Amino acid sequence: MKKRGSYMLLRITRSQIVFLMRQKEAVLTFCVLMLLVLANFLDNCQEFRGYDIMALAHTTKMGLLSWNLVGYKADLSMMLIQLYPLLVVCPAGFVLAKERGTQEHVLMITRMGSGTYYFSKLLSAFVVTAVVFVIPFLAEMVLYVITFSAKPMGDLSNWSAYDSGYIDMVRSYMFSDLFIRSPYGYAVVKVLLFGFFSGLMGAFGVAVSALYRVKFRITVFLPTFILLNLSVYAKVIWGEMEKSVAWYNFVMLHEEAAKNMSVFLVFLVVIAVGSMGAIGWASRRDCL
Amino acid sequence: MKGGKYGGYVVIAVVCGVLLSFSRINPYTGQISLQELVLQLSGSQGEFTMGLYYGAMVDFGFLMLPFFLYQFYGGIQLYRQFCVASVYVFSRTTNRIKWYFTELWGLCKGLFVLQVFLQGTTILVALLRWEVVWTGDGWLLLGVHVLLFTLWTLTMALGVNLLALIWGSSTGFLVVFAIQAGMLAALCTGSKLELADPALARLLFLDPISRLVLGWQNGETIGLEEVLPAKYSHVLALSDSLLLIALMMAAVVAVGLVVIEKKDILVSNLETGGA
Repeated sequence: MKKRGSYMLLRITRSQIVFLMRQKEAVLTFCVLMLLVLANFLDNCQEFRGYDIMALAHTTKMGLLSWNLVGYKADLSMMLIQLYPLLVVCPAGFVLAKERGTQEHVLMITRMGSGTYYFSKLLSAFVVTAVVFVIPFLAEMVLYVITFSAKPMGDLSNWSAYDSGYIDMVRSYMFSDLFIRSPYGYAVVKVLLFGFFSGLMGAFGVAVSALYRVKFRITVFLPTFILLNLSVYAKVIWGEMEKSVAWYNFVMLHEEAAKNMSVFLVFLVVIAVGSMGAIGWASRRDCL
Repeated sequence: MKGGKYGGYVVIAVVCGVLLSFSRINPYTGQISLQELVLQLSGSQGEFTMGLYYGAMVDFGFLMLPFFLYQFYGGIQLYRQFCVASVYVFSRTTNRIKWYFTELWGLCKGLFVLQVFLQGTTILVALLRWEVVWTGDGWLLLGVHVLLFTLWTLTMALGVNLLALIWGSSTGFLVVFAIQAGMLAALCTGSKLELADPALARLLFLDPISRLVLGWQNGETIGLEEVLPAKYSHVLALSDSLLLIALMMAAVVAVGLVVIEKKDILVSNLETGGA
């Protein structure tokens, strides 16, 4: 019985994922991210035109998700960081609000059960948001390798590779050993982590929207917006902190700030457990 | 009832006011003049005017946070009348222009409440922690700062309302926020330019959000030439900034007049897609 229930949940989640990937919110968010990636790519092509290949920075450091780029030229990365708390909700965050607004959820719950319905929404929101936020940045890596070459190993901060400052900076990256061994492997892992984090934020938006009747979709933005901005402004609110808790310091590539990993891990666990708890509570509530 | 209507704004203003005061008002000598206090609320860090680097933009985003939160709530004030109570409202108020200006006045009142509590809390907390030196120029500068941010926020909130009538509240807010984020991000491109570079002058002149930074502007025409650092006085003047932002607001109000006159009651729910 349990096995059949899990199989049904997976089947319904799969069909939800296919449905959500075709919705205009997911497609538009993907287009916005690709636009930012391409704008950054064109900017870099113009900036580094005529450069000797060996004088270039490593291609992953030119990408939009690279903190190394922020130190060199921050405009597009800043756009992404500012828009991210809102964009991350867009692909799948409104799915529950939409269906509950039109009362479609009543029909679906009678077919599949309340628990299966709500948990499939949560899982599909996680997967769709993760996919929408991973693909543009993986595509970007391939684009740079083709255009610029995989050979350059420089840095946009102009540190020499043997400088103690550079070595300290690299050592402070998350997965620094992986970066030293394989910068591309490091970049792929960090982009997947970014996707995982984005998926979690998307699922969190869905979970919160399950707790109240959403009259205006703008309110679905608020929890993620406040949460992520609180992490950025934490050092302003609580005074100078030895280790940063800003979300971008954990999920962006080549981030040299000292990071409070325990806070980040606790944050991920709390968000995941909280989202599942909220969905569990909503699934037990009476529909009528 | 009225207290409940503006309660949210009061909470936002008080919380943000306390945070702003603790984070921005920290004079080394323990004493701060009112004009220096206002400059801290407009992007300056101590004696230094706001820079064009990434960190300065992030800090400025924090200053704008209470106004972004206002745009969340204020951004659906007109829109909700169209979709929730439209039959009731417009069957009783056939004069839409009168209704529109009544609603605008409501938006202004909400923003006024936000500003009073925000600035009041910020200054009160600063008073409790430091010695504030009151000056006439400081009060004038505070008035100009409040006016600039109020006009800006009202323009953006009205913009969210109008876009929400076409695309729904979430898209309306996203577009307006993206425009403001884009303006802040564009300023970052100026960090590599020299002070005398004509490209920097063009960037600051064309980017409307630069008008909110008092420390960059020339205050001669308003009698504030002695209190403002005027870092980019060759490009930005306070009187021009007030005029520009007032014109922006007037333009959005005029567009809003046309939209609400022509826009029929929303028959399909832009939020959830149903009827």
